[in-house]
Amino acid sequence: MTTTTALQQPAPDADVNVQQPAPVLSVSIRNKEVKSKSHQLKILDALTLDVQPGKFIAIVGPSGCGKTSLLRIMAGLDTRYQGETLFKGEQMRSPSRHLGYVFQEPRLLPWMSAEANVEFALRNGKERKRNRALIDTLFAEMGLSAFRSAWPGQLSGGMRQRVALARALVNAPSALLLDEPFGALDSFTRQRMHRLVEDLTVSRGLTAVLITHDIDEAISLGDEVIVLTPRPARIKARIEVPLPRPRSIVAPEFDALRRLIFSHLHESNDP
Amino acid sequence: MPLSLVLVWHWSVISGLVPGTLIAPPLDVLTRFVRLLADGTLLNHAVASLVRILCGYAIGMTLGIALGALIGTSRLGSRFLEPTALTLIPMPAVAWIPLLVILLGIGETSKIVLVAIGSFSTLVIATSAGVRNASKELVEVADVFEKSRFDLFLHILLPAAIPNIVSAARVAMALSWTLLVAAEVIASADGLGWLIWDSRNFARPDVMISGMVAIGILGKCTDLAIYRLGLYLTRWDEVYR
Repeated sequence: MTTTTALQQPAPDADVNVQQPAPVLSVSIRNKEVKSKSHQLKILDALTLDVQPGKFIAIVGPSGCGKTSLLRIMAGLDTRYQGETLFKGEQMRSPSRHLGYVFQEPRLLPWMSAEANVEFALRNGKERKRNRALIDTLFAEMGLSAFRSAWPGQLSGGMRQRVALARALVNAPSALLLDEPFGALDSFTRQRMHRLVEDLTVSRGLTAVLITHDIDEAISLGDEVIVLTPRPARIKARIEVPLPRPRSIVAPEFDALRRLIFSHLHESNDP
Repeated sequence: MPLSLVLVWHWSVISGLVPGTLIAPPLDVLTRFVRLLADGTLLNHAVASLVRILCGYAIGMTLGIALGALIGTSRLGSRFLEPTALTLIPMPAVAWIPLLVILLGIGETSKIVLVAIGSFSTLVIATSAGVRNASKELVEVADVFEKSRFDLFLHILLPAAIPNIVSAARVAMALSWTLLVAAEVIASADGLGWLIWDSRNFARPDVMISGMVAIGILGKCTDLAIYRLGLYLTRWDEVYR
């Protein structure tokens, strides 16, 4: 009995002896440029990042610094860069459905019902049948059970983004990549989405990488906040967030972290 | 408005402005129309025309959508097929009539093929443009979930082209009637186009105008049917109607 307990809840000092687990995602970029006829723009500088399993990493940086480019590289959507990205130890050359990606916009297929949009992420009819229960659970968790047959055009912005979140989760991905998915939502809806994402990732032990320009969002959700410099982006600071969940944005510790991150961002703004 | 047009028509024939031997007054046309409908003449010609138009339209639509999709989605298709297609398509379809009559005779085939050519041309351009119009953002969604090229086509590229295809389908149907009547006037033994031309030759303006009215009614019905089908196919589209 005691051994089971010990297995389920390792003592805090247990992982001192244990080797660091292999990262789910490991990105190492030497350079990322976009070239056009007239000019050449360096977007990402030398940048290395390991994403450990079960961790929620929030990446903040000044607007236009290359945050989205970084996430697209991690997702395998962009392969035109110097460096390499390893997903579970293997080189990424194209996107994998085992990485759930949520875009800035919901990007639902307007000609499919909410449910069909979620099912679209699955491979075939057999997988759809097998995952019936998971789809039901996801719709329930998203609070969208009554809207399964609605067209995306009939849903509100927050509902659409929740459908997109369900679509990213239905493959039971190894990691969730979130590209500023709540940027377009009002602050009340955004807060509710934060709670939802926190429940979905922490409860599943799901690894997640969130890109955002909202410092409060980063602190609310991240186990670690990574601050990027202005373009070309490098890692400016890595800040652990030791606060218990759910986090209150009015707590003094929260405010201390907010000030710290803000000072990093501010510093990097005037070179 | 329609009533006043009929009144002008009636008055101009009755007053002798237009000779009654050339144009029949509305009342004569109405009685003739009812008689032709009752004795089955109109029905026979209408069926002959409808069979031709529906066959040709279905063939032209199917091939047009297929070729348009091929041109719009595959690089090979756009490189090899598009230049040829874009050279042939702008040619007015009526210009095919003499060639088709020589090659296929004056039977059903030449008329069906003519209607098919018209619909085909309209649909190739609309479909290829529509497929290309699909947003890059949605194509990325297919990438992210590792969808096959076939799934990408079926679930993203083709649906994105549906609004284009639907409006082109209406244009193609109107064009089909134009082409069919032209073909029937030139060489045929039945059909509504033949009916109006034949009754002109025999100086029967009442029959001729009855035939025109029948073509108008059928044209309206087919257009309405396609419009309704189009509304159903684009019912997801939240637009101002």
